[in-house]
Amino acid sequence: MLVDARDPTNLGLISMGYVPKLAGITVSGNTLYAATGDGLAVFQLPDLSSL
Amino acid sequence: MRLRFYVLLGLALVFALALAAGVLRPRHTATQRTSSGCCSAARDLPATQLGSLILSGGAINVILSSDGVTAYACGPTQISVIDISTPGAPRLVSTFGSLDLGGNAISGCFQVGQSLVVPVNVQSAFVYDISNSRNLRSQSQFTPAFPFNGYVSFLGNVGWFTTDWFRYSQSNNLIFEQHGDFAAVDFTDPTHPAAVGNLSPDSSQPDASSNLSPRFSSLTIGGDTAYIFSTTATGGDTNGGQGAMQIINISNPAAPVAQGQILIPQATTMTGGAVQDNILLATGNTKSWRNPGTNPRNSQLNFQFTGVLTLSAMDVTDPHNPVLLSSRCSDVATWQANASVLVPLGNGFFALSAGPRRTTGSPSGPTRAAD
Repeated sequence: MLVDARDPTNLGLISMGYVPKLAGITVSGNTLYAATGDGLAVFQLPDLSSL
Repeated sequence: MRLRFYVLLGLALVFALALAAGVLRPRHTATQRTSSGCCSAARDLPATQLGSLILSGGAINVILSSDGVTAYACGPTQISVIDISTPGAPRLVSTFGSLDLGGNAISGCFQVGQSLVVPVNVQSAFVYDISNSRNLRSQSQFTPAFPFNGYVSFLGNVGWFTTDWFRYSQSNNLIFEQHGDFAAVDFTDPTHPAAVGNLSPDSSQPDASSNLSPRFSSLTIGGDTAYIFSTTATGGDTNGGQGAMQIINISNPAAPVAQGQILIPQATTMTGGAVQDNILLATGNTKSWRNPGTNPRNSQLNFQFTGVLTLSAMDVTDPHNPVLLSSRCSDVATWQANASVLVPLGNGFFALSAGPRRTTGSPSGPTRAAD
């Protein structure tokens, strides 16, 4: 999920996709590393400039 | 005709009274300036999957090494050392710690300096040296002050452990006690972690200091403060409370002091948070543990949360006096969303992992003790 808190009085919630057995995540630059019940999944974050 | 009129009048009166009760009932002590639509659906902006790696036992969280090309995927059974020099093709380098973790490291790893701290249920923890990024070494094992450690936040070299657990009757799967603790361990010498102190119940702050509600995680802020993500629910009433964020003075780790708490509208429990540009984004759930812990679909043991994700924003410009700005819920059913799954991205955005909790050996996770 992506949370848009640019206006913290009106939080937005955006889905970046369904990941089976998703647990913790960490981010480096535009790369998101997701721990899952199966192992590791790597994603490129979407372009947020369009929001 | 007259009978129908009275029936309609009665229904209208019931509706009006219910509406008035909902409007007038005090729900929280903090000021809420605005609240956007509750339980509204999320829209889509897909991320692109680059690659994946199957790991035995799976992973709970990921820590990135300072070398920029190594990741540690921490699972309940082992730590996997992964080459991420090509993000689209992660490669397993080695595994570590399987004899220590034994399938019971259900909270993942937490980094302090050049060490990884790994709580292991029921009441153990291990420390591993990662100064040589691909050649991990054992540094120590210690016994935390309390059982069922779920999360660790750090201020300098001091780690703050939170616990979240309950007791239930095996005859009917009913939870009858809930517990949450907050304790400090000094990792200045990671080969000799030292227990420092813990938060004790305090009659001057009975709510913020209570250890009779689960504490799902914490974060440190401002050099002398911690926020604990919890609930007011106690005893067997797991869903009768409100989400609570406890404010704790940790300037003296040997004697942390509760300062107060903020109650969060729409949430039954709080689970985690992260700060960016003086805005704290806190996650929660509209429901806490299922009680009794029996899944009505298949009669299997299941204590998972039954509600949906909530999000709250607070102004923490003054860390001692956070101000609630807004709170909302969502259509996202989720077991947990604590600070290990909430990442500031910059420019007001946060990445958030929301979904069922990774559990091992039981549908509820081992944060429980059967009687």
